[in-house]
Amino acid sequence: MSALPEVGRVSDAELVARAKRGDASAEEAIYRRHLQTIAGVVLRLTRHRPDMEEVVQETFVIALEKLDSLRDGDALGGWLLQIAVRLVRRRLRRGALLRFFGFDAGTADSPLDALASDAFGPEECAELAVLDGVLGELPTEQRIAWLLRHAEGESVEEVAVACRCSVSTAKRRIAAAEARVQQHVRLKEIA
Amino acid sequence: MTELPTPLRRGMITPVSEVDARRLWRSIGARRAKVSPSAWDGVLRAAFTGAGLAALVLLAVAFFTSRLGAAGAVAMADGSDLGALEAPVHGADVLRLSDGSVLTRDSAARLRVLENDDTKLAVLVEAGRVRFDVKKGGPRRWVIECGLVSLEVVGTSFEVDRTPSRVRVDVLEGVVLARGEKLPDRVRRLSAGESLDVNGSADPESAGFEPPVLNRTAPVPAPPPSAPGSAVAGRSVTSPEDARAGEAARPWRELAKSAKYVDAYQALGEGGVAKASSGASVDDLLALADVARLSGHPGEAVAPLRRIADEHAGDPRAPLAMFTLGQILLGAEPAVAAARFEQAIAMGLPSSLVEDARAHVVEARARAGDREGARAAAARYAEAYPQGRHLAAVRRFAGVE
Repeated sequence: MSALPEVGRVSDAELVARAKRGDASAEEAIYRRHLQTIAGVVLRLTRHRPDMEEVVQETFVIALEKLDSLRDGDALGGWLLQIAVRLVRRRLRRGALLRFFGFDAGTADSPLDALASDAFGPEECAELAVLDGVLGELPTEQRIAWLLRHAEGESVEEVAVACRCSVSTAKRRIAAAEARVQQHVRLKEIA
Repeated sequence: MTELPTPLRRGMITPVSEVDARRLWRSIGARRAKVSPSAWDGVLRAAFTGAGLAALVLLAVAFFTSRLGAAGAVAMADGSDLGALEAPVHGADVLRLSDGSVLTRDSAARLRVLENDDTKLAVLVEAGRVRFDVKKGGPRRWVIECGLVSLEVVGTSFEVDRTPSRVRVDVLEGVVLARGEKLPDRVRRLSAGESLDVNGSADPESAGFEPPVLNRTAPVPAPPPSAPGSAVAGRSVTSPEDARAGEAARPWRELAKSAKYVDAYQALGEGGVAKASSGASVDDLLALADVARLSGHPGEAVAPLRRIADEHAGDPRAPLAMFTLGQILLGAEPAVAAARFEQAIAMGLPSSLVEDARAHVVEARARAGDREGARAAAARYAEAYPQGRHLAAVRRFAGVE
């Protein structure tokens, strides 16, 4: 009966079910639980904080209004990511188009090195700056796929779902991006 | 060449602070309130189908915008930086801006510019009385932050009077959109002649949470009766007031179960939440708190949540009630909120919420002006969560960035 969370973590499926019944606190709990993940992905993709805020808002507005279409509540995280990636893709394409025609699409205020925590030392920050530059030169689809794979740690299958493409297409995009990245930066996958 | 560990996000900062998280949530709520269900199909088609036509439209807009000349940031009328707004004043002061807007402030007024670009000007009224005459037809949105209330305007005249525990807004011309946790539905549209008075409470956990007073200079006209031959002739028309009266007859518990919190609140009748809290079970107290919070009366949730802490401390849901109580009090009574968060942790708050609670303690102590307490709480947080998702926000609140 209560909208307060139960003892122990409430599952995404339960939150979705409650939200579908009109529970406003469940809607906010969904937002709170997934905000940092979605915002982090979007910020690393767009490298622009105002754009990140716009996309985050649009993502949750769309998701909360279309929650009834989500059949498997446990797939909430992947579904939100899918919505966010679509919105990011649209923004990145618009930016590329504006730049192509000579308009200023706005400078990135949050390149990867600016997002580094104290976990990264100066040398690593310098590598992040290089990586940011390389990624900025990539086609939008390759950049998104590579970042989802190596910045967010998504599996190839999850990248395919987020990008709404086949697994083979996702692999191809990631590989094409990696070929460019590896010319400039070395990566070490941590389990 | 140094190797970068992947996934990179493990070494990245928390992207959104607690303050920004709340702000974004308010914006999400406002957007949802604006867009009707029938418009969603168009919104989603634009969002999820190809960007070709949209890109051409955007290109055209960008082209014409560049032709007209982007407005850029606002400056003073003499071309100097907008920092003049923040300078202390001696006596009343009139400030003319480059876009034709005028600010008139009294000697006690303190202002701070938060954002200033070609689409938005955000100003914080920290104290005092300021009159804003915002130029109509301008390219940018104005946001006036006043602590308890945020105001959004496009071209209006209004006055803001802020004291440590109260904010009053008088609209002289045009329309102002006011947002705040203490407003019903957290948002209110004010037209010319209307005022808003929001009290931030002087007493801890008390009836100091007065509902904001919305004054109208003219009475709201009654809706016209349905005429014969009209679209609804031959069918009884129930006024919104009659519909609510019908709902109010249903027990409040039943209405709350159906998530009809506004109706449940009305069904509680005289004495409302406070009266129903007396002698109530934990289940009912939690439900009463939900009814209060979700019907736009968050201050009234304090009573039932306090009863859980005082009378049912052994209940496994008591720590959650304390956590929620802390969240409600965070803006108005931060010192008390800090104590409630710490109490929730001590009572055995679920581990999934402890990190949030510890971060809230830092924020609450900072808001209460307890700098030493905020730093100590920040140190405890950082020790417990060296890679915590709130680490950046905690550092900012503690002033150790």
